[in-house]
Amino acid sequence: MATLLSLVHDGALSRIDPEIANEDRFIFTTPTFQKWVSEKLPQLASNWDLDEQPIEQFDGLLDTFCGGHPLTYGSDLRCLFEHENGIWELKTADLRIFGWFVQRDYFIAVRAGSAWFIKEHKLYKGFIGEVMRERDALDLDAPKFIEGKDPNVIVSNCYFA
Amino acid sequence: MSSFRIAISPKRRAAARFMAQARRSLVQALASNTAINQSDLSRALEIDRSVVSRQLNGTANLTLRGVAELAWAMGCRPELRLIRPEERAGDNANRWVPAESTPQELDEDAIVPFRAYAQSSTNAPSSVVTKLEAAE
Repeated sequence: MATLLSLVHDGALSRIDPEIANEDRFIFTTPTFQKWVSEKLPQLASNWDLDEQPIEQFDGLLDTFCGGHPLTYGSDLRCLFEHENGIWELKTADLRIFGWFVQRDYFIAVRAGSAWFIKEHKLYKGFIGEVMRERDALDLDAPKFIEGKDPNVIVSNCYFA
Repeated sequence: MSSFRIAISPKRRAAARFMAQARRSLVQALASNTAINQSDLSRALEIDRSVVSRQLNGTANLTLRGVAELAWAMGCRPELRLIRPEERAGDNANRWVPAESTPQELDEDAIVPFRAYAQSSTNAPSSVVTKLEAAE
């Protein structure tokens, strides 16, 4: 078994560097997610016809999340949503990012995609299942994830909108 | 330690983070005022509630006019300031250029001129900060 730090050291996980001065929250990724960021994300266009393209939305999310800025939860303003078994979703207008919190403010991102595509093809369950399988397969010390639905347990500076 | 950065130009990053910051300011201002909600904003602005919702949750474009009108409906006054990086040492604003290591996926040719530009602090571009203040 391994710690989060040793997994990052060994390359099983990578930390996203948000290029901000002070990180209060952290995002780690699997190689598959990193490939998605490098190859797929730049190709995505906004399905809402927004000025803000998905890669820009993702960068804005990094700024908000890693910068420790307030996160909204609940109602239609949520940028954070809880699924079953400790799987959480970070949201932008056009993106859905699935993963889990290994500890408070430490998110491991595993799968992501276009919000429109995921809804259109009803891929939520499939994505959640993939995240759970990757989590099971990851050689990470227990407890591997934070359980429960309380957003204040998994992130700091979160409020209900 | 294995880490990576997303391949986004400094110009696009500046825009992305400013837009995220503007929206955050609006959402926070609304959340911190328990006396008003989105329905109140839509009534005050004489627009459908779904428009307000979309502007705040990012699924609609947010113009400067939109920011000003939403702020007005919340009883706030938006303030826009341009700040040079050296005025906010330690802040995100001075991280507009990639730091010492550049990931392979970044276009080095596109980055080098910006890095050289950043080394001349007097030429460094301003960052933009928005905040909402309660109107007097």
